[in-house]
Amino acid sequence: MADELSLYGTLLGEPGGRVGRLLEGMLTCQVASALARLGVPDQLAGGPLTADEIAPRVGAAAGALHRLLAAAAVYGLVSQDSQGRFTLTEDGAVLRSDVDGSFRALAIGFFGPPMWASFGRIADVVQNPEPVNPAGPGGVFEYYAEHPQDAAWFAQGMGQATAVLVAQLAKAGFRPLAGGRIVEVGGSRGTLLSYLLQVVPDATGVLLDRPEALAAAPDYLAAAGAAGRVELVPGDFLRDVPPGDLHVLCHTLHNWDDEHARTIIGNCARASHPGGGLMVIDQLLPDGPEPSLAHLMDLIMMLALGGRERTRAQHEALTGPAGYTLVRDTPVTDVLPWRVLEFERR
Amino acid sequence: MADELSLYEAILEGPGSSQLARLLEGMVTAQVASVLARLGVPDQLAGGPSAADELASGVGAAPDALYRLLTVASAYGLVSRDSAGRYSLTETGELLRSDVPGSARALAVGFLGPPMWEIFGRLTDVVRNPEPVNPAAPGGVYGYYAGHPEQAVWFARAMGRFTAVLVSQLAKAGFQPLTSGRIVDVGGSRGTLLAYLLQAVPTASGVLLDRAEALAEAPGYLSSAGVADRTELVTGDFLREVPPGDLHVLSHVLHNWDDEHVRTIASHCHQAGHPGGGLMVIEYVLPDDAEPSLAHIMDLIMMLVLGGRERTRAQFEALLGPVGYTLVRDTPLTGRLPWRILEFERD
Repeated sequence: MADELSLYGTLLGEPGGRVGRLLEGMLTCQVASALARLGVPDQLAGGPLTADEIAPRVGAAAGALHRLLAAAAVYGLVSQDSQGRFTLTEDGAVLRSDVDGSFRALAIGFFGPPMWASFGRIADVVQNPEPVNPAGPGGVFEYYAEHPQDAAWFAQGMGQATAVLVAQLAKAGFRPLAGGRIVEVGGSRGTLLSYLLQVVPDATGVLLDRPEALAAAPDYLAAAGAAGRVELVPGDFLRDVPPGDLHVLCHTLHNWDDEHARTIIGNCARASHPGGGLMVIDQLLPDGPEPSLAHLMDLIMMLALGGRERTRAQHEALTGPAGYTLVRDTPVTDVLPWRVLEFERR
Repeated sequence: MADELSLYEAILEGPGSSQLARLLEGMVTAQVASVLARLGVPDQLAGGPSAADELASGVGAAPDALYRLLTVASAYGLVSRDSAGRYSLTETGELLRSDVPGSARALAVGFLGPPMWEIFGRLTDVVRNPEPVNPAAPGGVYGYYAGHPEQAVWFARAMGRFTAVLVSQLAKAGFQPLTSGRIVDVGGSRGTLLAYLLQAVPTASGVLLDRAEALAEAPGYLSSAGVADRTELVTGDFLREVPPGDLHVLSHVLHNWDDEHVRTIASHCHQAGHPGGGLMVIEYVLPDDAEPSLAHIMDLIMMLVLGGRERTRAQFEALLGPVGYTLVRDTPLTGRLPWRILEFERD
């Protein structure tokens, strides 16, 4: 974001402009996210429109929408012609629902009300070491339970992030060390499980998650051609995990503090057998102090869920006492600092 | 922030995606910078490098959580960490100290802390629902600041930062008002602008009108500017009444209000003025054409926070003409922000 596009950057001038641009993020994020949430980019897909024309189609007040669009023009998401009609720029077009690489679900799901509120609490979280309880009053789980539409956006955004991971695994030709009966613990609609079943044709799959998280799974698995080999199991992995030869925890452990992570890993170990496998996929923190994108994810986990990202050594310290030994560490780091840690049960 | 890490830019690949990812990442960048400033971490680091544990006890934070925040702050280029695990401020991070020239701390705390963060989170709702924003209602800014005087001070300081930039621009342009005599700054706060005008017109006298709490810092400020003996402080409410004078000044006042309140304020100035007297309006004036302007960003802020708005010059003339004011000079201030000085003459 160049200086001339930032109110606070411009106000502070040099050398404060960079701080100003970081602070301007409060505005830039809301402008982009609100446009996506209102569905304005989809309306503009067919060509230029005025705020008056768009407003009734997206359920907005025309005057306020015009002011939002004028601000979005400053940030380069739309442009306005001399008749007051707005057109999507290349950046703004990424917020359409129906384009390749659409960012609409992420723009809504990852920056919606519960995430915004979580970030507003950083100072409290840092000053007060009380654990964040995502299931408590005001927590993200409570919010999503009461706002299914937002929950769906969030799930879609997560699914998109997992799809990026799976594309990276495919590009690397990744194949798991263990096969047989593969249990994905907290597997949502089954994006990753479908991939694993594709690369291990004689394996079968079990998808464990809360019932609402499995809702999109039957269609997704059918489209991926994996439906005939997958059993759906509604359940709570903090209580019990179905038996299998390989248990998969992808973007699951980072949602939890160490105590809960040990419970989940222990449940997997009990549902496994000597020689059975455990696959953990998360963004790993580097061992050294150099800043990594995993640190950004770690902050998000701390605020939204009370969870954390971990180093490889921290993962080993959690899984070792449960009977798991690390046998392979595969970095898949082209996009994010993902690592696939494969453990064998003693 | 080209040389800094961006999580969402990494996820989002494809044409046109990098700017969008950075706009969205702003939720994280803004809070990290603001909270660092709010906790006072940069002030603690002013004396030299410090480990997260030492800092945590200095600012009253949990060491693990502060360590994780600092690591992200290093990803955004605000601090750096040495091999011994001690943090130092970068050149950018230095600006979040309280006591450096050009400090951004007041802005970071006053404009991004509570209640602003919550208010900006309502953007979609405000665009969907045309109910007027009432800053004095429960959950509004005025109620919040009345109950949180410390945060109110941060906000006032952040506002003062804007006015200080305005005054330096006026000075650079050598701006002199068309009218003088008795100059009444309506909603003039501690008097930054009035002091400039009195310095520019040595024969003028000044009146500073504002709420009592907004005038608290005025005596100290006016005497350090050397104009205290020419200034009278008047505690009052410009929605009810304005003191008489030859020139009434409304700087960053009208944009806080909807059209109806603007007419009320302008009428009170008119009643307190005389034929040939002046009215000076200073705002970020919206462009007449479709060009994007930072005034549009300020307009969005006004819409969300106060239910006010920025206006074009024609809109100002349409509001003030019927009250009895004719535009006689329009001075754009070049550089930085899109300020314009509109000077009107009373009929």
